[in-house]
Amino acid sequence: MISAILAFAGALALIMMRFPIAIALAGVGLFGLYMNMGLVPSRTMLGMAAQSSTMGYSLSVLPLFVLMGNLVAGAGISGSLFHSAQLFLSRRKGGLAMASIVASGAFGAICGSSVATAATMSRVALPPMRKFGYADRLSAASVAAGGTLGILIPPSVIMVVYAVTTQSHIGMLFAAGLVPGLIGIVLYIVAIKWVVWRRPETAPQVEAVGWRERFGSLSAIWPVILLFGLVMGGIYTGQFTATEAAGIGAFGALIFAIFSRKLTFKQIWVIIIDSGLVSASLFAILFGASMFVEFLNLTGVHSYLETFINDSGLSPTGVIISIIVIYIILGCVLESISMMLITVPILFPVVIALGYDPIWFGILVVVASEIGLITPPIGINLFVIRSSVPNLKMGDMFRGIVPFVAVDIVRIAIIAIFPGLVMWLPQLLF
Amino acid sequence: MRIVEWILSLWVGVSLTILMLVVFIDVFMRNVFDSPLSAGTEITELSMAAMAFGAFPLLALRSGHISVELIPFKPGGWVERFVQAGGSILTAVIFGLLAWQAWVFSGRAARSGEEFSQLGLNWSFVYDMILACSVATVIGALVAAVLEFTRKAPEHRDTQV
Repeated sequence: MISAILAFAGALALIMMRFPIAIALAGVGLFGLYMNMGLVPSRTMLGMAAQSSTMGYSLSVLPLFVLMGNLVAGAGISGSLFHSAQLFLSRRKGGLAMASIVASGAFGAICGSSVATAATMSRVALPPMRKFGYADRLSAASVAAGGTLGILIPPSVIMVVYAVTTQSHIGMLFAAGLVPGLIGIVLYIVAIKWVVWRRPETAPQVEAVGWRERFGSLSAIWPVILLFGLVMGGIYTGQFTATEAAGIGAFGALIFAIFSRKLTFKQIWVIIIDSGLVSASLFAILFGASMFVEFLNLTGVHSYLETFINDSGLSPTGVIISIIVIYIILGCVLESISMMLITVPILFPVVIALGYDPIWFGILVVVASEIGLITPPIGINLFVIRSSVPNLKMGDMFRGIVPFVAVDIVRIAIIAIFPGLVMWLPQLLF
Repeated sequence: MRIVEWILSLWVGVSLTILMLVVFIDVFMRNVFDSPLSAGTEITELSMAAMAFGAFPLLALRSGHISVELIPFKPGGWVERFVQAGGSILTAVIFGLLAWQAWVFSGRAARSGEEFSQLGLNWSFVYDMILACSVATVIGALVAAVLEFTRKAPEHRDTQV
């Protein structure tokens, strides 16, 4: 147990010192294995981990979904989504902030990354909000919170990673994420309404437009509906596997990017290369995490943990609450995919032994990771938005994000108390 | 240096394009002609490995792996340079060991004649690619480490979050 704690401490220390996450995890895992088993077995495990982390057929979903999201984002669909949501919601007080949430949710339906959603939406939603006099603390926080929907509304990169790690059904996970994602949109809008009610000066009234113009704007977002329908429809009707759906989605996005005429071939090529590099970074984290977890397995941390839980007298609900708290705390200092990769192999067997559903637990972990994405001091989405918008004060963002974190905690409580909300759709479809 | 980066970028882009096209053609052939692409799964796996291992040297050279910017360092200061160089050196050690293991695996596969079931390709081909890319990653990481100490104002090109 002590070696496992030391491994966690060592990896966290290296990560906080800005070592690449993949290299920190692989380095600590390799060192631990070497100290316990010697050079040849640890080196053999390194080779096997590298191979399984880059050549697993089910992993091909990752680069394909990354490519699909990047191509569609590059073709400027996010601007159309925000424009359409803005026209429908602008007559409401705080309507532009609400539009950024709805547009982020819609963008999440074609992009599986939270950071990409936040970065893309910040470029299209923040300038108009600033133009109409919205306070930075509301506008930036709503885009940051909306960005988290990218990993919950399918397709989702982090769900793929969870599915691969736990051998869960990707399609069921995607289906399970939809209702919590919609609940997230509703609760974020409630948070905006609360902020605007408390401080009306944060969101000046914007002139509304007619219904004709509103419905007219929907014609520009057909690619999102088509791609989402193709990818998710294909998975849910059993026509495609997740990998096949991702391939179809990426190819469809490529065709859309070419015919949208908003991107040159050179720009498309740059997007493809960038998508390859981002995917390779994710594979590297998978590789590092599998070395780290190999070492943790060797320490027998699972049996220690199970004994600890049995001896502590914690009820299953108490265990789940403890896990949620651990994820929220870890999420403040760790990147979500690596956090999932190093914790799920340890916690998953414990949760399943307690009789919980793996799909439900996956959604719980993703929502908890979402909270980490907007919780200071790291709150990756906050930093992403700050880096793309000049003169944005971090303090304003930290204060502005509080209502959104609060509704996220309400949402995770709802999901924990009512598992049926998560399991209803996957049970209906599969 | 730019030529190496260009070649590696081309390699990564082509690999991902092949991956996408193979999956698409496989689905299309299966659904329209009821005849899936021969060796589609193996080509998918190979192109994925090619994309990842082709990208690793580039990521090492650009210090482009995902990292977390939690503790603020003085930009271009000695602490930051030491940390960046330390990360690069650890990368070089890990990929050096990986290259060694790939060489062992390759020899073993060549002797046993282990092949991909549909492509008929010997597995030593894959391990040789991993070996070559791992060596390139070691070189890229060492170059990045040296550059940290030699350039006047270090560039921050990493994917920090």
